[in-house]
Amino acid sequence: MRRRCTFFGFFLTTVVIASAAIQCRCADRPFSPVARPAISTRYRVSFDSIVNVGYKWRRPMHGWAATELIIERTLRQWYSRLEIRPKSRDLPLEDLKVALESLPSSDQTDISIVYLASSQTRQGQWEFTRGTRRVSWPDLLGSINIRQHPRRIVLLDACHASGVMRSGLWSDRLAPSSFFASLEGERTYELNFRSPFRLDLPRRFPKANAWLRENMPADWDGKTSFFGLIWLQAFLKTAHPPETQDDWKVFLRLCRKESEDFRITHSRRLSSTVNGYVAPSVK
Amino acid sequence: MNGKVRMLFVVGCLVCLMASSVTLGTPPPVAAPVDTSGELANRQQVAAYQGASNANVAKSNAQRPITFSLDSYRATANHAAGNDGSWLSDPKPFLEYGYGHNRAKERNGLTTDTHTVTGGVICKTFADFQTGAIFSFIHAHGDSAGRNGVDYDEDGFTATFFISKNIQWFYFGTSLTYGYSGGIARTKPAANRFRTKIDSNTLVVCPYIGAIYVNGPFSVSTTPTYVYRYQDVAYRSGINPSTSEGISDGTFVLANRASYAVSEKLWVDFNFDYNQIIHEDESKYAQGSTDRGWLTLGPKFTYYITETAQIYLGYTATVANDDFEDHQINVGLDFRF
Repeated sequence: MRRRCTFFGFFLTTVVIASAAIQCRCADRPFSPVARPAISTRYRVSFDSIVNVGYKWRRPMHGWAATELIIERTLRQWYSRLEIRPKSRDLPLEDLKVALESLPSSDQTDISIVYLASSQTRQGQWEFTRGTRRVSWPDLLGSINIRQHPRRIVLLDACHASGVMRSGLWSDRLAPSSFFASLEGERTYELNFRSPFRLDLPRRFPKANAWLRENMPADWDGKTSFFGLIWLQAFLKTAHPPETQDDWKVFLRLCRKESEDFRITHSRRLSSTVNGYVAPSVK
Repeated sequence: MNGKVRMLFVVGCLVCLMASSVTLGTPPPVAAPVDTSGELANRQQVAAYQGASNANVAKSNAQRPITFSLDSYRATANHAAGNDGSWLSDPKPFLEYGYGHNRAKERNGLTTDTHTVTGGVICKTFADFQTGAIFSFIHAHGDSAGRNGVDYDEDGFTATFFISKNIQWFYFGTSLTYGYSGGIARTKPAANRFRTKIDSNTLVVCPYIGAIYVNGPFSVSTTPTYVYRYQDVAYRSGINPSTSEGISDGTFVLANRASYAVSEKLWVDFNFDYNQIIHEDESKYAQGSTDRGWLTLGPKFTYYITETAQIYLGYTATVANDDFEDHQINVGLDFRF
């Protein structure tokens, strides 16, 4: 028995040390410095976010909270006149209504970017972490009065995201422009930069990894939503911050291409199709 | 057997008993008695049968949902989808071949080779519960040496149904397993060959609750489990009237696992289970366990051939058990659609 235990111990130790050495070698590989994009000083930009993380009956969505931070910090590198508004986390129904009603109008900001992340059902229902279990977007938007902003861009990072377009209320009342993390029939997944399992993200996305190491807090657990990675990849390939609606269209196309490349090159299973629409330019 | 020989036999047994107690510090193995009657042969066959039956496969399948719960944590990416309300979704079929080698440690104890083909499917169901069905087909062949050696062949199947749920860092579930097997045990001496037909129906219930900690590529988990087994065994032979008995036992299993993602495609697990028999009915025919606590341990390697298909190779050894030693090798193929 002792010999057998010794053998197992030796075997496991060898495997762990070998793989740790491989990972250390990868981690220590000098990463290319991240080029800073140009900074836009022309427009007032605001960033609102509403994220559901702490579900009681399922795994918490830490990756989506990290995506919120990724988007915030990329916007900070793009726009000097960025206003980060209070972050809303795990809002029940009534508070969600209040948060949506208090989104800035066009008087307050030139570009309003809103990040919404939550668990969402196939029927396009937003799932709450507490209080009311879920609500459909048409019911929600039909019962509140949101201030209009022609240059509001809503980023919906949820499964079955573009399903919200089944009702015209989404684009009429809330989002003249939208980025969706997934198509109506798709799920969107969490990725992990700290575990090589399934996808060795630091090796496959060295620039994104370098940016994350530089910009994310030390206690970040390495998780991000798929949309967070795609947004970051598109950000790193964009030399000038999007200012006009046409710039946002180009950025949306880039996001879509990145998600398709991810599907072809890296993982079919962990990918979703980033899609959306951008309202025509405002004269 | 005259009185002198009987005396010598008893003294010999006592010496063996003392020697084994001194060297091993454990209860003595039962010395194989000389075959004098069909009844004795029958008892020995039954004892042999009880040592390695498909009840072991039933027990092992009953504990399988623990692995599924852990896999759904460490190998399934988190997503932002609410429950779709569908009864069955995300099917994950698997197919496995297992080979087991079991050797009773008593003198001239039975050595059994078991071949098992297991297939099943795991699905998501309402409220993010996981459910599934596992079916195993078993063929076992046992052999023991010595004057009263027996051999037996057994064919059987088991069906397991389970339901489990992961909630943040802990999980719970239960499984219900039914197994049937039919076998024939024979004494070896050709001149005095007794046959006993043995049919058994086995029911295993296995509730469990566990916790997992995941940090990057590492994960560790512990799962206290209670395995209750009820087995109804019927014996038919040409010598003795047909008999049957119902016996039950309960085992506490502390199933521990440490996992490490070596690369994108390779996982290594190390399983370390502590088994403790809590209660056990005394069989009218077979010897019960003398050892009530033992360990099972071994590694498992999982390799992802593609995103949807994975193969695995696992090895499990039973150690620190005074009654038997057991080695299992499992090779399997999993799919995720």
